[in-house]
Amino acid sequence: MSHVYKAIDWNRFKRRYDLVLALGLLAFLGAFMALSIAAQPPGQSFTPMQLAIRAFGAAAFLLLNIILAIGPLARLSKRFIPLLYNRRHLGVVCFVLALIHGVLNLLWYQGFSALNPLVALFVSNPRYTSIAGFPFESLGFAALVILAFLAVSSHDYWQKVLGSSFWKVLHMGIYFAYALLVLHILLGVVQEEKPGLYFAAVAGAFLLVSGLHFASALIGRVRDKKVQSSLDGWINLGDPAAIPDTRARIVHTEEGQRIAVFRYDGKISAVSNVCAHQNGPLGEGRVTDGCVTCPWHGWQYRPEDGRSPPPYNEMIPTYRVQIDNGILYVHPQSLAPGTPTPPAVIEGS
Amino acid sequence: MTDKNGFFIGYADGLPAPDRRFLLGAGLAAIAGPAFAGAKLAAHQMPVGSGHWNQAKILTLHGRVVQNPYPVLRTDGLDGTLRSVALVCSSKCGVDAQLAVFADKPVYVRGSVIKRGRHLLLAVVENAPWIGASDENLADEPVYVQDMGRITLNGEILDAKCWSGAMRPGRGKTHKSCASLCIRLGGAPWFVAPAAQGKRTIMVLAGPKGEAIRQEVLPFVGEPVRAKGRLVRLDDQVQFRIDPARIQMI
Repeated sequence: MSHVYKAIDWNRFKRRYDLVLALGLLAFLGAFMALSIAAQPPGQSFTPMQLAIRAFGAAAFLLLNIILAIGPLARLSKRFIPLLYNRRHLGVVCFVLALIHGVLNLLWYQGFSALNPLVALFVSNPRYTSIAGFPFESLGFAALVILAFLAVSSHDYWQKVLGSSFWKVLHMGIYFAYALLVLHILLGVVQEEKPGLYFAAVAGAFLLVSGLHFASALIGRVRDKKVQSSLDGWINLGDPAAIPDTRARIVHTEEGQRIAVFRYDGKISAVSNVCAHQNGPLGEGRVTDGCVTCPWHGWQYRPEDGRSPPPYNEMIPTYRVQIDNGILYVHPQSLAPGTPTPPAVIEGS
Repeated sequence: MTDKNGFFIGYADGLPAPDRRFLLGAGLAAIAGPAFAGAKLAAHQMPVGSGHWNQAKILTLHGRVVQNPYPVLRTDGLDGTLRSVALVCSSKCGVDAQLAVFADKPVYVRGSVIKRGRHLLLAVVENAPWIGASDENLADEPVYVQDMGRITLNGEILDAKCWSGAMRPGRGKTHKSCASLCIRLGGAPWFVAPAAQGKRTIMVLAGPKGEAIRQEVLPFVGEPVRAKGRLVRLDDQVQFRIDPARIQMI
């Protein structure tokens, strides 16, 4: 929710978040390198370059799994929502780690010859028709290209330029990159190392990430139980007091729209459940300081007109609401983003 | 976080108490977890091999150059006994072309030593003249040849220089493309077979008549293979002469 685009809009939470990220990375790289040296038999040691290649590659994959796990974890438990807030920093760092891994690989294994390293990458191992012998480096390269694109376009500026929906679809490419990287590792280092731990680590990580996504999708489906409109088109939501104060009830219409119906200050307003920023679930947020606040990144909208407070200018669709004989109704037809809509007043509140 | 109801807002100062406690635990886990994972993964890696390449020390060796079938310097310059020192490039290339005019003549060769066990290689210096006629009085002993019979071996084809210490590890799938590139561009393919008592047997890989084979073995480099052929001793090197068309993936 940026009025003037900055490279990073720092705040205290982001600094602490990134400090933990840096410490976690240092802990991983330090432990990996120290044990790689210490655990080798006497007289044997990695070349520093090959040690760095392994350490940075492993760190990038570990971080990517954490990145992908945060989304479904936040859906399963609100406690994880703060981890979503600065997740794009994890993504950029993950790309940087993968880039270091890739460039060192290219220089070390494909360099030092008359052949262009990028050409050598694709021709030095010709076994494209084999599974066991497949040139796994090509898979890693493809994943790195995707990660590069996602990292470069991760800023709010590009989200605004590309449009939120298109940006979101593009960034789903992370799952394709993840699949490529799982294969990259299974067809690469897993085939070389002692059987057991490496395969278990990759397969376990993949199953964990997949399982979390499956579980969160299942829960989302249960939460998104569809409601039917009455003959006149209005949806009966029952007693408005049943909605906790400053919270919302999320309504999933037959037309496939998600409406967040908020109760606040003795009133009811309805807006789209989809945040204009990253399609975050506004209905899982709250009304704070008079504004609907997205739980993912804190973007805010006034409940009466779906507009962000000045100086911001983001807008989301609004919906008509009414209370008749103590029963709350919402109309499933969305109004243009930013359309002022009178809130329904809860009598006796 | 300013909201009284404990709702997290990332850009606001402070955190609600439950979030603070949870994030403290998550932060500690985010540091300790990776450290544990890194240590565990690192400790589980295969031994990388004992080879070493001392690039800092440039030696000049005297001897006679032969193609057996890859460039070898027959020298007694290291410890007084005749040794075969494989000649390789410092980068990924071959030295065959430069050696043609010096075949079987006394020469000096300058380079850095790559050593793994009893196997010696000299990586020639590429940025300066590295070979020339030697005025030392060198004996011209014939190459000792011994046919050791036919054998079928399981093992891995790899690049001589990488395996001997230029790369650590210099074998296996992650090194496959590097070894393939080295051999494609003029490196010497060696065959490493695990033998009894856990000791490896290292052989120079050659065609049925002892000729160089490079392009033919590329698809098999860095993978477990089975090969059938004849072992032939040439001085202190053992050559594994095979028909590359009959190499089998295991």
